[in-house]
Amino acid sequence: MELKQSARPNLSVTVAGMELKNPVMPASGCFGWGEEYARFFDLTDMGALVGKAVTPRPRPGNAGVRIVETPSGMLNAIGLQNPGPEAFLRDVLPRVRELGIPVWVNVSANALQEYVDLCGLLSSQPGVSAIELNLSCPNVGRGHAEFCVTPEAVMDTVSACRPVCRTHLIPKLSPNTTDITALARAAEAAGADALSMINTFVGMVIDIDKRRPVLGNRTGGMSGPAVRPIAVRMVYEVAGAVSIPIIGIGGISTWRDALEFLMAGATAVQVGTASFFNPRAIPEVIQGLETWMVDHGVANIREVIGAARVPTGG
Amino acid sequence: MPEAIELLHAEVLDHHEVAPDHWVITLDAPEIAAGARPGQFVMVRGIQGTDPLLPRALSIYHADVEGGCIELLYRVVGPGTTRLQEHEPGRRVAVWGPLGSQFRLPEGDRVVLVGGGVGVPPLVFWAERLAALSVPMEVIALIGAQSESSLVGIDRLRRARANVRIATDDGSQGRKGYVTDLLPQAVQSARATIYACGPTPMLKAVARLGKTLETPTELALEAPMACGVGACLGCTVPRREGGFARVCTEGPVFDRDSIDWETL
Repeated sequence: MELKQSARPNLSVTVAGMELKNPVMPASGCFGWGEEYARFFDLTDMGALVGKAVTPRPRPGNAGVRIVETPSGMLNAIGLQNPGPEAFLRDVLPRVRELGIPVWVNVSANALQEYVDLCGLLSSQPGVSAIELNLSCPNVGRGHAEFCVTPEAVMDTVSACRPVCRTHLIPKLSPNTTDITALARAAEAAGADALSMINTFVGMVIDIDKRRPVLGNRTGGMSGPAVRPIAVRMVYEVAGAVSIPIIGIGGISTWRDALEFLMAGATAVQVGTASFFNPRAIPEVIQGLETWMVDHGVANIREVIGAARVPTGG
Repeated sequence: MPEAIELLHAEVLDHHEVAPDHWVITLDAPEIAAGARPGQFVMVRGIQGTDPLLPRALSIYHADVEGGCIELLYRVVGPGTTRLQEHEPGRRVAVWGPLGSQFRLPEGDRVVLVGGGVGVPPLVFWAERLAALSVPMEVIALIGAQSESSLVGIDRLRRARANVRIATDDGSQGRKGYVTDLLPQAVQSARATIYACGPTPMLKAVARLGKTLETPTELALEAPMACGVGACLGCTVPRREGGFARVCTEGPVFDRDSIDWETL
């Protein structure tokens, strides 16, 4: 009997042993826990589900103005609004693990011990495929470091979480640093399974009439298409510095953008802000990748990972 | 499964200026027209380009179920509405909705609508739907604007048999002063329900008066939004019971007592 050759290209990738049917997932904080976007498309079409950050205790979020538009981007200062781990385990996890796609839980805290406790609790839950460690969070108990932007802070946090984390551990790196490859190397040395990069850039917009920052929090995280070239550059650099997989994030709105990150060396990508201005951005990126592969005779998406990397002369 | 939200690339059927910088755009959107309720809104965005990036939340001015179209009334204030205004009939825009909560039916036999500036459109839609009910009801519409030239929706309110009373900042039409000055008399000696939409200072005043006058009051709020569907958490307002409510999802129509007006 002759088997028919399937015309559909293979979009599946493996992130640290975790099989994803395609390399596209939402970025934390840009997709709730999927319930809103289930009204626009089938969530099970995604490679994985990455939800809003969970913090040690419920957080109401910031008062005042929380978002402001910028050229081809936006700033947000939501303040990690979330119902806390108890409500997450009771109300959210039972629903999302039924989807049958990998569920990644983003974890954020203010102190090292809180990271460790939360990581231990959430990583042991059935249906949690990975812990994405939000390292771009204020003050991880080091006093001098407002953000986890030094290799030492990254090393401390990841090393402390590694022994208690019973599933994949994926630190999410801040771009607000001088040399992101140093953060990446520290995370890898501390036992990270993969890296999500990047989180938002700290920015500010001033209301010139009120002579005050627009955001209630004064500063906010910048995201959207405007940051994409910087994010692609950082992924490219880190891909040359570590051997663990990279999940590329930063202004991805279309399949073309996703391809840039894959070619720079990312194994998978996250779509963030784009879901806000196009609720069907994620399925459109997946469909666009598939169409591009068919048009270009690419049978397996893994062929393009790192394809743009050129050896440095020497 | 939650109900699906329609995301359309809708054709612009008509687009015209109704007052200086105030435009009405008509979109071919039968699925949205069929489900639209007064108080609800849609998100609208040009299909191409990333600057401006975000969609704009616009409340529904009119929904023609049989004709399969919706009308949105907006004021050109910034880059998003400027780009929208450039869409001539025949072009398409991305639009999703209907979104958010709706006005609830009144308890008494008098309805008092309080609208300021571009807060008028959802009240016009509500007046039209109330007029279509076979329930005898007195509708008083208190409409405020900076001046006569920026008054919108007045003819439609009158066609919906509303008793329209006007206040302008400069006194160019109606009473000179705030629209809320007209409110106490309008709710007098009847079981009235107040519905309001407009700038936040006006809404605060209406909420305060509604409480003083012991009159049920619903207010439609406006807030900057990125997504319009409940995901970005950018449009929150403080709740009286603590924490925040999303204007896009728990609102935009809120009961007077559910919002902490002091900290808003």
